[in-house]
Amino acid sequence: MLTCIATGVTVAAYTSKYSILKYGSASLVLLSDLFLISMILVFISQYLIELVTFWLLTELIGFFLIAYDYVVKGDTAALYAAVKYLLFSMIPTDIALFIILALTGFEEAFAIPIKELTLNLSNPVVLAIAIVGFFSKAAIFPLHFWLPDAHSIAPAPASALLSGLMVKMGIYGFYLLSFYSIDKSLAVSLMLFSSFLTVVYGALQASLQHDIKRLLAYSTTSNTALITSTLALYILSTDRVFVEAAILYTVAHALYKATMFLDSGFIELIAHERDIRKLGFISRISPIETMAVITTVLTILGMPPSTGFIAKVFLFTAISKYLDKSWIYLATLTTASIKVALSIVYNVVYLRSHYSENIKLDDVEAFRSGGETLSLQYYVFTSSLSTYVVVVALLLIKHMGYPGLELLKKMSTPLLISAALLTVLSVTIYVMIRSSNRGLHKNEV
Amino acid sequence: MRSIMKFIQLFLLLSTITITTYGAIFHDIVAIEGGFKAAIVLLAYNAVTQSIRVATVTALSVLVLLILFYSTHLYLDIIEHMAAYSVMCLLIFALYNPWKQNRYRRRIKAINFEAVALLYVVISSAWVTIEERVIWVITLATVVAVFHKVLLPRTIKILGIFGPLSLSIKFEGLFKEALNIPVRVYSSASLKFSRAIKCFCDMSKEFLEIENDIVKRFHMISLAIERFQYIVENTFVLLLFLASMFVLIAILAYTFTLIIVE
Repeated sequence: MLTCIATGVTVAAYTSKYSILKYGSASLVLLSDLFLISMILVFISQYLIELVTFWLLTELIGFFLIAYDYVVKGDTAALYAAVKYLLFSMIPTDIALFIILALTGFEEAFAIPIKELTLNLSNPVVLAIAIVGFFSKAAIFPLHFWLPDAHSIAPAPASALLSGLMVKMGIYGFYLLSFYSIDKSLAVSLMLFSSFLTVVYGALQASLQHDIKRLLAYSTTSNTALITSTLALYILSTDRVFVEAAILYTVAHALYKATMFLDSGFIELIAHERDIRKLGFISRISPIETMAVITTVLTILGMPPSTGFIAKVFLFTAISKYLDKSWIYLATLTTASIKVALSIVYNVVYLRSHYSENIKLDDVEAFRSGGETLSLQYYVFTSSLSTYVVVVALLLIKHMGYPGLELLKKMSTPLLISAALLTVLSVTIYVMIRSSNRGLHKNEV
Repeated sequence: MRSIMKFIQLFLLLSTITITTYGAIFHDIVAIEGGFKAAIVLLAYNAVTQSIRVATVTALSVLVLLILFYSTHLYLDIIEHMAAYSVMCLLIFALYNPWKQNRYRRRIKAINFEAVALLYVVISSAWVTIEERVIWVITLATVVAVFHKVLLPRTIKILGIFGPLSLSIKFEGLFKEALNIPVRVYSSASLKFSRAIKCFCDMSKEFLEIENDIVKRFHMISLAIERFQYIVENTFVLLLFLASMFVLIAILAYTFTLIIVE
């Protein structure tokens, strides 16, 4: 809910400007806002029937968002991506949902809260269908391939919502499964096998992409797979710390991915180019945009006191706590470490689109005229700051007596130290810059 | 732009040192972990402002560091593993440094500092984990060495960007010599690795070409996998179409049979 609001506010503001600049009308805004609202409704659903209804609505709006360029411009690639999304994401998930609904019973779906249902999913075939259904929504192997096309073709704000929030619906599905009677070993084996493959495959593919949006799309598959493996460990150990780690990682990833996709939209509008090899001058056109992206990249890598920092510490602490219990935890630690290592590579590759030494200044001058487009940089910058705002909100929630997130209490000192350092340094530098500007002004007089 | 990037670097450096020191003093393993995470981000930040090759080497270092750091929880009582762990970390830093030194000579001091800062985090972690007096001494020595040899000049240099600021603090006599020992050992190890890598690069003139060739091959593999993905998708769509046709025919046949029977 907190993530949806934090992401949604900036994306909604960005969309109105983006839609006018790219399509000449604000028609994308309504669709994007409806998509966001329906997603919030999915996450706050109390009963299964509500969840299924809003889930289907979200998927349907998602389909139109992916096919938006076909509707407006007649781009057949957008239609192809949307059909692929329909076949490989919507249908398998809907089958899974309807199986759960059928097993629940119509009356119970209306009357009993979703987490209190006494649902029996011990049949291995039924469980496998349900898990594969949620795999398709979270874009995890073997139903991951719809995502790179869908997220790279959709308009940038839609990609921000699809990648930042919609894929998390699949993860939410896995979380709900943990409340029901399931064959734990089968569920954990399936989830871990597929997520390990996807973590490595997605991160490797992201590192090798030249298209900025495809790079981000592949990194999404890798990140959602890592969150899924954390949830699998929760099913295995029943320790709440894994759920907390998964939730915090989800929040961090949603905020990171929203900002990055908004940035990709900015690049697309200002440079009319998505190939990293032909870019590299964005830092010269908009230093603010580059700073926002560097901050966001550092956030997901774990810079204190951001959400990414908390998420990473939660994740690795949770795994290392159980290392002596089973080899599965060691395997997850290794996979998570590979993911972190590869994320350095693909983030550096992405930043090549902002900063490259091989670009001549003459090439840059041609792009400086886009005054209206440049105003989008402020939305991206605001979005990049949201990772810090969310940390403050989390600390406040904990301070107000929320029983979970115990590790956050222990982490409050490191967070405060880094926040104090950041504030003191910022103020010092601000004062220095201000005094130097005054000096310059006096000299001019 | 450059000043802000230096600001982020300074912030990360100070965060690493402060959080880890807090963890070491108050015996707080979460703070140590926080310091370690900040140090990892510092390494990544370095890579962000440099080449893909540096990023790859950093990624490999980070991978080994993460696995080593978190798997120490497995070996709480076994000092041999701890010693092996420390030696491996030292090797990583020594190997990681020359890669960057060869390419970016102007930043040697900064890089040395970052490596020593990370080493400090790891050693502090080791101290908190196993509480050995020897490691405690090394930790203290590293803290003072870092402060004297690298932190002070580096901070002055960074602050100097924003205004005229000059400080001169010097340690004298035997104390200074004692402090310089770990730094000297580290520098000589780093220098040897640097020479070895430089020698290797000089010997192999085609090194860059080989590297580019490997990257190209990776791209080809990536494209081949994507092509395979498309084939699988198309096959899946075809199967889905055939299955739906089969179901439709079955429904029609069943309905007609019912009509005929009636």
